Amino acid sequence: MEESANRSLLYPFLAALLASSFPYVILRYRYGVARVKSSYELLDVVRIMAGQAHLSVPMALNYVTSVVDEKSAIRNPLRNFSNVMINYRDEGELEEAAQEFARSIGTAFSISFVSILMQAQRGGREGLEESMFELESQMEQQRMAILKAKDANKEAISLGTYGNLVVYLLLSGTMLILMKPNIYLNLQFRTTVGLVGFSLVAVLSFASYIAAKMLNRLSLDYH
Amino acid sequence: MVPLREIFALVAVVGIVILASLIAVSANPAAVSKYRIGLKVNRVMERFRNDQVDALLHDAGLPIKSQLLNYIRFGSVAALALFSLVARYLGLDFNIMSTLLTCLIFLAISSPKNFMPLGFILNNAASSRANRRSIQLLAFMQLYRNYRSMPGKRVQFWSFCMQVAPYLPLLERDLKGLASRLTEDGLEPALKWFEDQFPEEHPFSSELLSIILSAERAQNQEAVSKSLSRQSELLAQISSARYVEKWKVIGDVTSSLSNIPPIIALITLILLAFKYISIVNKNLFF
Repeated sequence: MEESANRSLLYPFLAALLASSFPYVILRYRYGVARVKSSYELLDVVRIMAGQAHLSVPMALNYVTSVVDEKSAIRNPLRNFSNVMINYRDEGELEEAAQEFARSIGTAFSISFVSILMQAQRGGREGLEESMFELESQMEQQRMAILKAKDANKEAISLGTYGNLVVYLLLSGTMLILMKPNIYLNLQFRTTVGLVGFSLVAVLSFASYIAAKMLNRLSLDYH
Repeated sequence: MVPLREIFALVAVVGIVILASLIAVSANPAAVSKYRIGLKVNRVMERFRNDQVDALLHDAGLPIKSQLLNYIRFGSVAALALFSLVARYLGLDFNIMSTLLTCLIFLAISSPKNFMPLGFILNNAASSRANRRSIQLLAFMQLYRNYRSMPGKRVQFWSFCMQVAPYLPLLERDLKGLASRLTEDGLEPALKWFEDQFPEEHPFSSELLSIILSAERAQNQEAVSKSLSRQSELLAQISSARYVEKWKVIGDVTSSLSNIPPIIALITLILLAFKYISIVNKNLFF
C-alpha cells in the first residue's frame, strides 16, 4: 500500500519540478539571445561613436543612446552607462558603471570600448577617434572570421533545425497513407515498439535542434 | 525483542573490552601506547584530500576544495548505510545487496575521474574557463595597444595593469600580482612570473609577453605602435584559426547526431509493419 502511494507521488513530483523550471529556462534562453544580439549591436555603436568624437564623451554617449534602435538589446546597458557618465559625482561610481556595462555585454570588445571611453574621459580626447576606428576594424575582422566558421557549418545547422522534422513528417505521412490512418495510429501509440520508437525520435530530434541552434548562436567575440 | 538483545550484547562486549584494557594498562603503565587506539584525526582527514582533484576544481572555477567533495561523497554513502542499518534493526524492509550496490554505484558515479560524469563536467568547465581567460588576455593585449599608442604622457606600466585589472575578472588576481612584482623585481622577472601563471600549451601567452617586453624597452614610438598593431592582428588570427577548427569539429558532431533520428524513424516504421503483420497473422485462422 505504502509503496504504491510512494510511487504515485514520485511522478507528479518530477513533473512539478520540470514544469516549475520552465520559466527559468525560458528566461535564460532569452537572456542568451539578447547577449549575442547586443554583441553585434556594439559594432554599430562603435561606428557611431567614432563619428562623434568631436563632442565631449558624455554628450557623444548621450547622442548614441538616442540614436540606437528602440528594441535593440544594447539600449538599456548603454542608457544606464550614459546616465551615470552625465551626472556622476566621483570616479568610483563611474568605474563601477563602466565595469557593469562591460560585464553586461561580456565580450572582449566591450571591455576595450569602455576602457577607451574612460581614458578619453580622464585624459583628453586626442586619440579617441583613432582608437574607435581601430576597434571597429578589429570587430569587423572578427565578424568575418565568425561568418566563415558559420559557413562551414551550414549543413549541420539546417539539418538539425528543420531537416529532422521534415523527414519524420514525410515518413510517417507515407505510412499513414499506405495503411489506414487509424491502424497506423493505433500501432504507433498503443504498442510498446511504437511508443519507444516515437519517444526516441522525438527526444533525439529535439536534442539535435537544440545543438543546431547553439551552433548558430555565436557572439561577436574572440572565442 | 530480538534487535534490542543484539544491541545489549554489543554494549556488554564493548564494556568488557574497556575493562580489560584498563586492567592491562594499570598493570603496566609504560605499555599504554600499545593499547591506545589513537584515532589521529588529522591523518584521517588528510586522506580525503587529493591534489589533482584540487587542481581540477580550481581550474573549473569552483570555490570548493577536494576535501569537501570527498566528505560529501563518503558522508552521503555512510549516511545511506547508517539508515539502512537502522531500518534493519527496526524490522523494516531491508535488502543488503541493494544497499551495497547503491553505495558502490553512487561512489563510482560521483568520482571526479575523467571518464565519469562528474569528471567530464569538471573538465569541460575547466577548458571553457581557460578559453575565457585567453579571450581576456587578448582584450588585455588590445588595451595595451591603446595605452601604448596614446599620444602624450602615459601612466606607468604597473599603474596601467592596476587600472585594467577590474575589467578583466578572470585575470584580476594575476594582473595585480604582475603590478606588484613590477615595482619590486623589475620588468623581466615580473613578466616571467606572469607567463608561468598560464598553462604550458597556451598558444600565445609567451608571444604576448615578448611583445610587451620589447614594447616597453623600445624608444621609437612609431615603430612600436606599428609593430604592436601587426602583432595583435597576428594574435587575433591565431585565436580565430583555433576556434574555427573547434567549431568545425562541433559542427561535424552535430550533423552526425542529427542524422540519427531519421534512421531511428525508419527502423521504427519497419518494426511497426512487422508488428502489424504479426498481429494480423495471430488473428487469421487457416
